Amino acid sequence: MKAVLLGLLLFASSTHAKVFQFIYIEASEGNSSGGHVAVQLGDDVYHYQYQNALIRLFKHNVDAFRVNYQLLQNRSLHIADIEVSDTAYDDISNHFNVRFFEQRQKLKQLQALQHDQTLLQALLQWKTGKPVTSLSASETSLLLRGAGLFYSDSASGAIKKPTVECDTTNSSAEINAKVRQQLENSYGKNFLSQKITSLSQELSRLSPAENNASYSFSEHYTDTLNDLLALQTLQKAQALTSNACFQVPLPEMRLNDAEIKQARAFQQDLLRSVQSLMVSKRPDWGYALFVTLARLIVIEQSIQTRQWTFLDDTDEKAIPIPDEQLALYAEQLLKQRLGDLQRLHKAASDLSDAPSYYERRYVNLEIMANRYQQWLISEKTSELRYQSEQALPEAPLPLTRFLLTGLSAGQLEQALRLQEIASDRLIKEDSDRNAYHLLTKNCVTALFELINEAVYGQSKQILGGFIDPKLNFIPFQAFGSVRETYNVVKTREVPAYRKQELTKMYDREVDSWVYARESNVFSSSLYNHNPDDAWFVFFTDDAVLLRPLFGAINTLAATSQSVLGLLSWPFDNGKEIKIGARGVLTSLPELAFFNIRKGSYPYPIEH
Amino acid sequence: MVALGYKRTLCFVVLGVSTVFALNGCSISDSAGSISDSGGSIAKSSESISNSSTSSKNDANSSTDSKDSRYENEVKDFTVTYLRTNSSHTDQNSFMKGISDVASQNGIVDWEANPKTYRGIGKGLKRAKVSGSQYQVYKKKFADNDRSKMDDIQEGYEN
Repeated sequence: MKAVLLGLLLFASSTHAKVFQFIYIEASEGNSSGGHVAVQLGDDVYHYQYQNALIRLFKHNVDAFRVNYQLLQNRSLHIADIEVSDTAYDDISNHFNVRFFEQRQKLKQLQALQHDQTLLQALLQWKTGKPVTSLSASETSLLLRGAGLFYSDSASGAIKKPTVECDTTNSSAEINAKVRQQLENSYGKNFLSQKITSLSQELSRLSPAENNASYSFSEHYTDTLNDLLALQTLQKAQALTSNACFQVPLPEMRLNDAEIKQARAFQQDLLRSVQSLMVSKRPDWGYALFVTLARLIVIEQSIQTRQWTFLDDTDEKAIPIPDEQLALYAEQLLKQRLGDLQRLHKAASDLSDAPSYYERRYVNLEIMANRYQQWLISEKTSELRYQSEQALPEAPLPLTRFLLTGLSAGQLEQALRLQEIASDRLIKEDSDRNAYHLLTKNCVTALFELINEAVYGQSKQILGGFIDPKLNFIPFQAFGSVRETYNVVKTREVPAYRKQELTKMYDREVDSWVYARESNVFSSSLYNHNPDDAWFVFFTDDAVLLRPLFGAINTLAATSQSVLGLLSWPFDNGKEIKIGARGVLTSLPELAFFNIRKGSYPYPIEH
Repeated sequence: MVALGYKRTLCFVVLGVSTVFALNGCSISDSAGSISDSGGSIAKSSESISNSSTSSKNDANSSTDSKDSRYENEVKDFTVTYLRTNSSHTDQNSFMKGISDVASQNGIVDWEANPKTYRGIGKGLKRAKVSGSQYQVYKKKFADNDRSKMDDIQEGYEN
């Protein structure tokens, strides 16, 4: 009977088993020169990274992680599949997720305290009649989301000249009249002015004493100010700023009668949203109102001109690719551009062919139009913001231009002192808990501690064994321990980008020719110099016997860069000399047959 | 795997090299070398230049249905983790701001008008093992006593 039960249990456990992955990323030049480790649970990858002398847990989509390490950083990934029961998998996954979320909340609290201080300092300056200046780097985070769709940042002069002018005066007036009429019908004639007065009073009364760690003073202030500005947009019948929207000049982007009818129906949905947002209890309804009003306007503009007009949802933080870099990848970029054009056409036909899920399809079209628009802009600016579109337009504006408070200077000073004390305490707690140490608190030890926590001290039963973080602090050593200790059912290597491409070349071409051509940076067809890489001549990851010789030449190249860096120090703040020195240190181990450098790639590109 | 064995013997060499470099065995979070946020810059993009498949949240290629279920699941995950980390002091404003973040990443502006939001919350309450009177309290609170939203939460809780 016992044997039957045992058999049943074994059968049950085998049918309800899941695997998660322990990933070891090989060493390379730059960050994590000694390698790196991560844990993959489904589509999520968790790993610890060094940030300002602290160790932090990060969570990424598995594909984004692969692109970053395997393609951009050109490192091979070694993956171990660890089998656990269904329940254990869920527990581990939940534990990682909760720890990540807890950390995010703690960081948010810390950031909120810093934002509170910045806001209080700005309010104090405003109250005492001093010019409100940028007080710290975090000041830029005190932003009014969506306000930039209707207000230009004239105070800071930060607004750049629009690449494409978008005049929505007529459509804005049309929408404004409709919305105001609707509000009057639903909530009475004085609803808008009364709500504006009430929000102004609320903003004047806001005090840090009334807020808590979950919803901070600066968050409350920013949300309320955003609500107020969104309503004032309606009161003043403001048009969109000239760089808030654009029209795609393609014949496929014209609207026929049926499409206009669908767009009108969508406008009705948006008008209902405006009405409900006005009485919503969500704290950030002002942002939602900005976006909804702006979409109503661009749709009206599309209907009036019979050509689609869209909101600009470009992420301004996206780093543009300069012309000289674009030239290196001309062929691939052309393919990508054509693909984006096809996707734009498809999004437009999806919208008109299937009226269900209209909002979803409209958002998709907006995203595709923004992506294509960047290709058009790149023709004029000679740089490309590659895939910089966002799911929703952010259009943030610094709040310092719209300050308002009823608190006295004395009250503000006192609140500021209290915030500084609270902030210092939290920073110290954070530092005590998460300070990085090369041997005792690094990305490997922290990951094993998290795994051990997740299995509640039952490592042997759940994972097959216990790994002591104190004794396993080197990435490749940790991977070896995982293979020997945990229930590893399979291991595999995902080759680095260059290695993967070389294999394909060896299949297609003569081996010796490929080796000779690809062994050095001058004739390599795969590698274009990445300015983040130190100077080197030979790749040594696939050259074991010649490694010391190649290493000597690479050391010489990096030394030359350091010497030249010495000369350019006054102009580049020591950047070249630092990269050169790093190159020397990366090349020296090659003299002893040890490879670290792989060569990296600035953009995710596959041949 | 042989290569790994070879490297194992050089464990201390690597450690020494890493120490000398004043670098470390950990990836450094910075804008160029990491993917520490989901911004759309190329350095952070999850899409390769010649590969049109993408896994970013604003993936324009996946089907409408899968996007909807992804949103519902993300609301569920957020609700579970929020309840687990704030069990003693749930703040309605902070909860709603969290839902707004999830909705924004999925291209949804008016999440209060989207039944998937409340079905996701219901699923999250179930997953967090909230039951009985505590469940009723949360249901009313998160739905702001709105009958239709409470029905959606219930539907998510039961399915």
